Amino acid sequence: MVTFVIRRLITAIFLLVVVSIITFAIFFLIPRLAGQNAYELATQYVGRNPTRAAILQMEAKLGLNEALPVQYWHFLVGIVAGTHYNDGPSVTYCPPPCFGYSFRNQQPVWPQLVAALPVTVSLAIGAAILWLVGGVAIGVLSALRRGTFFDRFSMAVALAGVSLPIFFTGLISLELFSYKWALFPNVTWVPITQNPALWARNLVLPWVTLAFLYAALYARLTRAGMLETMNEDFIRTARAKGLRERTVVVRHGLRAALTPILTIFGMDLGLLLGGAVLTETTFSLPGLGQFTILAIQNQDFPEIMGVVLLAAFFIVVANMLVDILYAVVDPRVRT
Amino acid sequence: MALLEVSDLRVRFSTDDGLVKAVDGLTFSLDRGRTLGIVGESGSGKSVTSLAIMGLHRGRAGQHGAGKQAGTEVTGEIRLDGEDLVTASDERVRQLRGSKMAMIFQDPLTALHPYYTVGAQIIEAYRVHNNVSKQVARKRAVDLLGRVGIPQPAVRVDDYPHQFSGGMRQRAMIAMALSCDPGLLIADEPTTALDVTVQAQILDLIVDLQQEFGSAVVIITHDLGVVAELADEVLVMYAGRAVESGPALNVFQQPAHPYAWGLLASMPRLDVARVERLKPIPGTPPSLINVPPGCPFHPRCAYPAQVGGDRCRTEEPALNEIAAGHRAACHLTAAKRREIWASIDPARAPEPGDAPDPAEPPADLADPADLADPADLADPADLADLADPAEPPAGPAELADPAEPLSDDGRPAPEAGTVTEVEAP
Repeated sequence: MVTFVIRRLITAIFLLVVVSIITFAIFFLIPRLAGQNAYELATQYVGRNPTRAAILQMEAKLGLNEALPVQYWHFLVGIVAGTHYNDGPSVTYCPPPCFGYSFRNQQPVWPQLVAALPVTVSLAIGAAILWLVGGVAIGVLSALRRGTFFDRFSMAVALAGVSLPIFFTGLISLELFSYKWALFPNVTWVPITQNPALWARNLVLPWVTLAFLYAALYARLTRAGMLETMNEDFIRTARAKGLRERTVVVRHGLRAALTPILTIFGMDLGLLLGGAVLTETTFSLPGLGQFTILAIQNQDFPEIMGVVLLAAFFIVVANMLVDILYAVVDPRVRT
Repeated sequence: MALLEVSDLRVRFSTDDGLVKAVDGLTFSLDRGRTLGIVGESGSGKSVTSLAIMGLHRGRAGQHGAGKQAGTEVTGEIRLDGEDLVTASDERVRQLRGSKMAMIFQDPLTALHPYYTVGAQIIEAYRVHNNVSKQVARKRAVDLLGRVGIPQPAVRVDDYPHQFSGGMRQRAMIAMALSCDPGLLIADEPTTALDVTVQAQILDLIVDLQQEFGSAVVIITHDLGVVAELADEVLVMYAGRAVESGPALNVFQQPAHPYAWGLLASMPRLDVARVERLKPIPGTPPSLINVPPGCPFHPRCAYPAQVGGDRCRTEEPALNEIAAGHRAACHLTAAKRREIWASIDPARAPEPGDAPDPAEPPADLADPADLADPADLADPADLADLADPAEPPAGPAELADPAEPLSDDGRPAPEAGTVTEVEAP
């Protein structure tokens, strides 16, 4: 088990390096392959209507004339030790961990990510708890009451849930619960450290909206998994032992049916932590998703690169945790 | 009073295609310490019978997923120790399951939960019916694992099923089934999924444990070799009903039903030179939704002409006693039956005046080991050999015969003694 975890950790680190290389290549190698020279590339890192001098300055600061491996090495060193963007006359310092410096906003990328992160984490974790509990519960009940009204109804709602986009359900819920009935007025971001009650109240609508989509998916998955598992031979064995039906369903059925759900849950959560773009945009939450949208709109390459790396980090870590958790849950994976 | 008494058991499933009569008027009984072999093709109702006894067909209407369980109807009587299981409450049947009656399934890998240790699963089975601490139950689990022949039981108790070999898994299943010392043990094809070399060990284990625990055992199988080795009594099922039943010796030596003849003739033999092909039973088992009128076997039977008239097609034969304890449901007359069986199997058919001689029965029917002893019987040695393919064939003469159905490694072919299975359409 220990070797398994270590092996998985090493794989994760290796994956992160590969991801960083690919990300780096997207931003610095591909433009070059497409025929852009260092000067043209530097143009994109300066503000609008730049002067030729400013562009040359940027070219020097970013070291765009250096060999690509050297540039990549500087980038890696910057994450650990910080970077001095030096064009001779002026030096721009980006403190570690330096994931790039947005010259358009005149600030390093990392602190912006750190500022946006709590919003996304609050949104994702809260919604995840809701959809996991709700989706699995509905899925199990549907499977056990297969063919009944409850099953048909909840599966119809689930189908609607997976089909309706968040910008639709989100706007409808905002219109009804926030504006019309004023149950949750003024949905804005309030940090949990500032006012936990308000933090929670303002997040209810985004949580429910986001969880609705995923709960629908999870209910269907759980239902299918339970239907399959409850027909397994070991369930018949459990009944043949004379176990109570609840024990059979929970200890023997759900335990086995939940394992694949766990994998998907890890991946979904990892993906969301990189930014719930639609939900954050719909509810004006200043999280990583909104940060990403703004960065793209502004063509702020360092910011985009930073957020891509962070999102990749979450996915790789989530993947690793899922694998390890899987080994804990399923003894067959351990060896 | 017999431990298990089944009378006029009927199990029906309503499906989209119609009413499936999986078991149709089955009657039998079984005493403590005895072994009953239920034989038949796939879809003959043998497994459904065992599930009905265990109450595992139950499922609160519309629940537990499997749609076919939703509309299951069971009528008749199943008396375990005098208590009727058909009318008993779900809760009562649950209490009896595992404690008074236990079951071993075909494939021990899928029958054991992959996520729990073997020990945990035995402990769970023991603790449902016995109010003891985990430590006590664990000790019991270790004892049982040792008893069923798992080496180092104190260590292996913490292994997961996938760390066990196939034979060990079935041993663990047996340990689990016996944890509460049940009076009735039902083994549904307990060796089908196992390696041939392991099959014999598992059968021996069941015999040993039956003697030790004094349980009644129902062995459900399509492997006539298994029945020959273990069973005191045999019940041949076809289309959800019993077509022949009786002491194992009688049924094997003097089978009275054409279906039983077919089963025996389709089995490879080691004691006769293989000049003829095996004779499969023509046709396929009937749909249990539209069971043929009259004798359900008549469309596949070669002998309706010998009965004469239209009787086989119109009149369902009753399960009549043809010898002491030996019953068969066939319109053929006793003389015709003897004549036909003698022509099918001259080697096994009794000479006039030979067995069955009530004055000289095998010493002890309850001891299946006797079945394997050729000295006791007219000529059942062939059956015993088939039952235990791991054992070398009877003599060097047979080994030398290239026509013998031996597999490449010199052992009898694994199919030996297995009825050709024909899946229901």
